[in-house]
Amino acid sequence: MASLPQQGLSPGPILIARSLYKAYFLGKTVYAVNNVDLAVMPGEFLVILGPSGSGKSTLLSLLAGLDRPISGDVVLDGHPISELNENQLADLRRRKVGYVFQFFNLVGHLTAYDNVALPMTLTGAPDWFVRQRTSELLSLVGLEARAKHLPLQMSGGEQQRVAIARALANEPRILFADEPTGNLDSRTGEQIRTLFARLNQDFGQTFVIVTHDDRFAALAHRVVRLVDGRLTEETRGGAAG
Amino acid sequence: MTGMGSLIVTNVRRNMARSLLTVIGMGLAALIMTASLTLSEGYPAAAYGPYRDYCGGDVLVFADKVWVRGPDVNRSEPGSWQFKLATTDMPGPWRFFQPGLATRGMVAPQGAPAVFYRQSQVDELEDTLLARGDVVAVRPYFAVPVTRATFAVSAMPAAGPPPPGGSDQPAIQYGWNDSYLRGWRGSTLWASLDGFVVDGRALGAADEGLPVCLVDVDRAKLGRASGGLLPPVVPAVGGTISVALPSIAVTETGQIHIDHTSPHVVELRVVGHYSVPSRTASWIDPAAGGDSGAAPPETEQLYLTSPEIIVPWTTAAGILAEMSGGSVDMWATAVAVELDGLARVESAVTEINNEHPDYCAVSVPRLASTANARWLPEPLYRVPESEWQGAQAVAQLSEPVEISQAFNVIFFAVAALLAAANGIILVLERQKEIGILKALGAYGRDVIVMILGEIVLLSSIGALVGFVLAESMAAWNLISNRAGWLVIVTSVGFDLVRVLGLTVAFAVVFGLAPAMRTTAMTAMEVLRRE
Repeated sequence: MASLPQQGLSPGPILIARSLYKAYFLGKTVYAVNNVDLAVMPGEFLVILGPSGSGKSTLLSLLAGLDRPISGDVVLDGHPISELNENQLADLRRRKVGYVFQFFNLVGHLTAYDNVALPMTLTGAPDWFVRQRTSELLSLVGLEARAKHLPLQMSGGEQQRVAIARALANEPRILFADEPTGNLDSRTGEQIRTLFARLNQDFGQTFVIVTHDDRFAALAHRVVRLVDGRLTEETRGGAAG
Repeated sequence: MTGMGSLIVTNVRRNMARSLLTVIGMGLAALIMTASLTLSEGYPAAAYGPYRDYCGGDVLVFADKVWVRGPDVNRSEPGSWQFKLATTDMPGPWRFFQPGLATRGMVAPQGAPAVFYRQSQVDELEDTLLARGDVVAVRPYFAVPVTRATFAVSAMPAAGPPPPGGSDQPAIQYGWNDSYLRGWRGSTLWASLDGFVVDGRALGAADEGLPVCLVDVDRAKLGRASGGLLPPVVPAVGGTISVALPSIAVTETGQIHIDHTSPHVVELRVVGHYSVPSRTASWIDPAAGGDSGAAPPETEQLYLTSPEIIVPWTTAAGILAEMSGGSVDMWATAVAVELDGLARVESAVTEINNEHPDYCAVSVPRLASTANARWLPEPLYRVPESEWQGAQAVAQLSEPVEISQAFNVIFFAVAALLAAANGIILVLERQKEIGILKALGAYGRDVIVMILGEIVLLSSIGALVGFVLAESMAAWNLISNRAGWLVIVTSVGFDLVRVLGLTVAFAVVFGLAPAMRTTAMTAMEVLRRE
């Protein structure tokens, strides 16, 4: 099922997925992603809903270029991922993609400040820029006071906000989030949702979020459902007006 | 790379526990490696003192490969009889110190060349050796085989001077067929000879050119233990010994030919007895312990039995001139080399052998330890005969097994494995971190640089610590053996390069493989493995 961009948004999709397949062999071949077509417009807030085990996380990792499909292709900001070698793909991830993991995946021995600065360090950005940008991002997620803390010294919500700040470090064209509230209590989850909505509305940040949390639908321009690796249904989200 | 460099330092600093464990692991690896590479050689400064004094140096350099009787004695080709010293089955006690001159028919078979140094060779070798820097002195070692030495003793069976007032017993003639005449180079070694003399007096400068000699008093003990094969007595101090010496000639090929068929007889006056202590034997006598068998171990000082009849150097030269009819210059059996310490004696032996492939250098400690380990016919007359072949004695005198090299290889392998394991663990323990870095867009080479940078940093620190700990012992060994500073500095420097290079190389090589394998995976594959 091909998903079309919403009218009224920018004309060119920033992300296009064509006939994506990803399979694992677990005694028999299991398709985690099965013939998925999808397009995401710049500034769009797309939510992919689906039950546990439906292939949401696998699909997101394919869309973000963290993994490669067995068939099909992903075009990210005009770059077909299948045509990129590992270094080019790493470069694309570094400059165009932000990714928020369900379990935060912060580097345990680095402080909140160092974790946020890490993607910029990889680009070779000058120190003064890294310092300024990191402070801005920590301020954006409300964690200036926690800059020197290690992940283990912070709550789950705080860690997730650090992960979001890290994902925004290199001003990505698109931010992917894998169950960003799945590991948080409801109050902290609400903080994260509010933060995402603000980033989308105030900065035009493009979001692709996979979740089984229906409350994200209210923030989305578009909601698609994934069942057994297939996109089965598409609806307008609460932000679509 | 500046950002990556600071990231490496941050990683090392923030992961202090992991860093410390790695440093300790690498330090241990370097310590073992340093020990296996450096501490395997060298002897304590005071080791083998009597042997070194008696031989006149720490290393003996023979003029040719040493000739000893091998297992294929029925073969006629001289080459098939050739063995390196101390690696084959060598008969007899003192032949270890004079293998080129061992008993006729035992060594240097008929027709085989008996190569000794001529004076010009000695001079040339002396110049070369003294240029090494670690050689203190070079002393030619002269000995010539005796056809037969005979002497008369009037009293049985005591060794030593005859009883006061003489003896009414008729004198009995005894003979030795396995003796050598040794010229003692008095100008440098009179003092060390004094230490061996137990009866009578030592030789001195005033004896040069005179027909006087010293004989080994312990040969009497060996004779009593031999059951009649050897004389149970030695010539008394003040007595004479009649020494029949072979004719010596230089062949057309320049080799020295020794002819025992027409001997020259020389009468020598015995002015003293000497005795060469070897080692201490210990055993347990069950009879002394009663039924319990818990007797305390008994110990006894043992002595080597030397067939050498020692004469002053000038006397030996005169006898040689007589033996050769004046046709042979003064020559030497071997050249004794005194080093500035025993710490690197085996290295020096290897180097001398490499520099002089036609000669054969052997360290005196190696000769002595090999001889000791081969159950020499020492005068073990207090040990009960029933116990002589007992477990304790056999254990002490069993055949030597050269295992130090095997241990070195094992230690080196353990150290290498330890270093390699550290490198591997440093990568495998950080799979999640590598996955995160890849997800954030790090190039594979960035990750490898970061990982290897940490491995190099931590393994270098650890290796340096381990090296200092182990090498300080080796350096102390060198210093206490009075090695020259140049030797110490070059030795320590060379060891440092070897240990640091090898330790870091093992860690890097074995860390590189999993790092490359991990970075070849997609970010999601790496994170999923965690």
